[in-house]
Amino acid sequence: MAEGSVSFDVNAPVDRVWAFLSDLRKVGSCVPGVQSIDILDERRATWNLKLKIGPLSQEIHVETETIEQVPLSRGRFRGVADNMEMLGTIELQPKGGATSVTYTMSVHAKGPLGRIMDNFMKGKVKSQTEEFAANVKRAIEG
Amino acid sequence: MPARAGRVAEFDAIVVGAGHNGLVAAGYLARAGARVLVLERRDIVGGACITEEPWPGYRINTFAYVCGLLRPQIVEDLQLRKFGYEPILYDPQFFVPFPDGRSITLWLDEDRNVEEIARFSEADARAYPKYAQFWHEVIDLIEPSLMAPPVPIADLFAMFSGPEAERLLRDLFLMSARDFLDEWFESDQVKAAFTTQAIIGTFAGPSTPGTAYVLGHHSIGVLDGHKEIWAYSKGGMGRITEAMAASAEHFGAVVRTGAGVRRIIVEGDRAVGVETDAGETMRARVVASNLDPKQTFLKLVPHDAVPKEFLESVRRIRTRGAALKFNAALDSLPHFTAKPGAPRPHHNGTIEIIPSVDYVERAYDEAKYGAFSSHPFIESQFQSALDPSVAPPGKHTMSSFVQYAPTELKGTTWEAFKPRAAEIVLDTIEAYAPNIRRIVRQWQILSPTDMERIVGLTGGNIFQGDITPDQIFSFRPVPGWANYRMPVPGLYLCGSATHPGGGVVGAPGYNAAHVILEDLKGTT
Repeated sequence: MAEGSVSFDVNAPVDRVWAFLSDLRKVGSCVPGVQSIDILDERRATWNLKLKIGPLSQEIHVETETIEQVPLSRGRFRGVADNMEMLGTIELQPKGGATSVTYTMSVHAKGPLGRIMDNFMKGKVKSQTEEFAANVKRAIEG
Repeated sequence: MPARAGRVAEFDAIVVGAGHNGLVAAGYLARAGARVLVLERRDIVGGACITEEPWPGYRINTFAYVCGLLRPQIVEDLQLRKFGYEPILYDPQFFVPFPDGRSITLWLDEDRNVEEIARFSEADARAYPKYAQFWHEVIDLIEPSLMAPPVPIADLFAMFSGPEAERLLRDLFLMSARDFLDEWFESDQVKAAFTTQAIIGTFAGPSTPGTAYVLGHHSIGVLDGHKEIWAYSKGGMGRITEAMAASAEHFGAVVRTGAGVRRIIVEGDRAVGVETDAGETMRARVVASNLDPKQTFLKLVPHDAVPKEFLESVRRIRTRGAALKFNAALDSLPHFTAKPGAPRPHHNGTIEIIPSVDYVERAYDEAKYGAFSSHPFIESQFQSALDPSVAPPGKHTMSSFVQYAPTELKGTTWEAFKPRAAEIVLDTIEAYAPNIRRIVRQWQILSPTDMERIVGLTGGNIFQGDITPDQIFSFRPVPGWANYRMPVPGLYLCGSATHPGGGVVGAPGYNAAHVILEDLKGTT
């Protein structure tokens, strides 16, 4: 299993950050490699991602489902792809007029290439979560 | 497996051979709480990763001579730095002198390499950053596969769909180094400089299909944030395996030297222990052999315990020797015509004598027919230039890997031929460093047959089997038996003959240990 976690402060009140992170299209614009999102209903979506593995580009389709939402505080989702499962958590904490955000992502690869993909994702998840954090911060703060 | 009355296993695992992979396996097994015994025939640990003192004060890397491929996770998990391992990254990495007095120096800084290459070809200088990026990305792809058992080659290839992937598949697995480099560069000198890592240790010429992959295998070095690098081990390569042995002992393993194994004991259908050269028997729940498959299955395991087809596959593994070691004690550093003076930065790195791609192809041609190359490709280091601890004050060491040296010489023997081989080596170096004969105080040659006799590398093949595409991933050591478990239950291979192959990488030992730990779980 590969895991990455990043904490960062956004210079915006918690309700604005929550509103942004609850909007799948807005969040999607911050996730590295997202090509498109098909929103199925208010909890489920299909994400089409392009993942670069060394010199190769792999297209991945991930079905996601929001499994927990505590407004202004915490959200959890899980995602399932052909040979991959993922779990993500976002936690918000008011910090004066700003908001402290902790984003955690774990990825578990399955199938014959599972161990290799797990090793690969170990190197990738950290950079992906950090890139996501930077994108979110930039998008909200402007 | 239930223990039999009166035949209780004394150990959970016996590791046969204290080469670096055997010690890595022992370290991980012991760290997980297993009772581990390592048995080594020689009086020192390390296998081919050793440093000896053939002449007082000169610490010579008898066989393996550079590190950098050793996986960082292993260094960290086994606390090897705490036990004395200290890598020294060298810069420049390579110095390639040419007969016309020019040279290429390859540095850690890629921008400097562009300048070096531009002196030979502007087009090649423009191509180099893309070439370097190609390998950075390929290594990103290969790296995750090193520390895991190999996946079936069909599953691996299934990843390669689409035009860019198919091209990569072709480049990496099917092309020769020559054809591959021809697609990138125009200057023969530039191509020669990059050819070295495609054929080193491999009984193949640059035109042999599959040698492009060997180039990739030799690019997996990682150290202190630098990738695709080579380094010295301070005090010599032996410090690495001494640290590994100390680590394994720290975690509870017992490491015994002077204890060769003459037989792996098979009872029923299962490996249950070993018999030493001295006639002692030791029993264990599993036996892990760090020796290559030929040594293990043709010499230690009763033949009737193994399927005939498997034995045939083992016999077919290509383990031809490709090179000899020429080690020397020097009074001073050599002066290269292409960059006069000493010491200079290029003495810190690897010196490559390979004036052209054709030169090395011709060297291989001679070896194909049983002759030592009359004009060999030589890779030399003067570790003492950067690490004075390996030589007496003011003196120097030289380690030269000389290719091609076939296992068997046509019409003569290695013992008879060594003086002539030494002349050829010195003549070759002298053409680039005219003072070499005056500064060589002592020398030794270790032929492929010496490598087999001293450290058990069949044929003198430094990788325990060529690392060409037909002998890697799930084809290694033989198709169908690539997951470290062997046809005799309770018997495992943990050496370089297994995925991901040779060099002081440690990953085979790591992977084997984890497979063994899975199997030991739930048995008593």
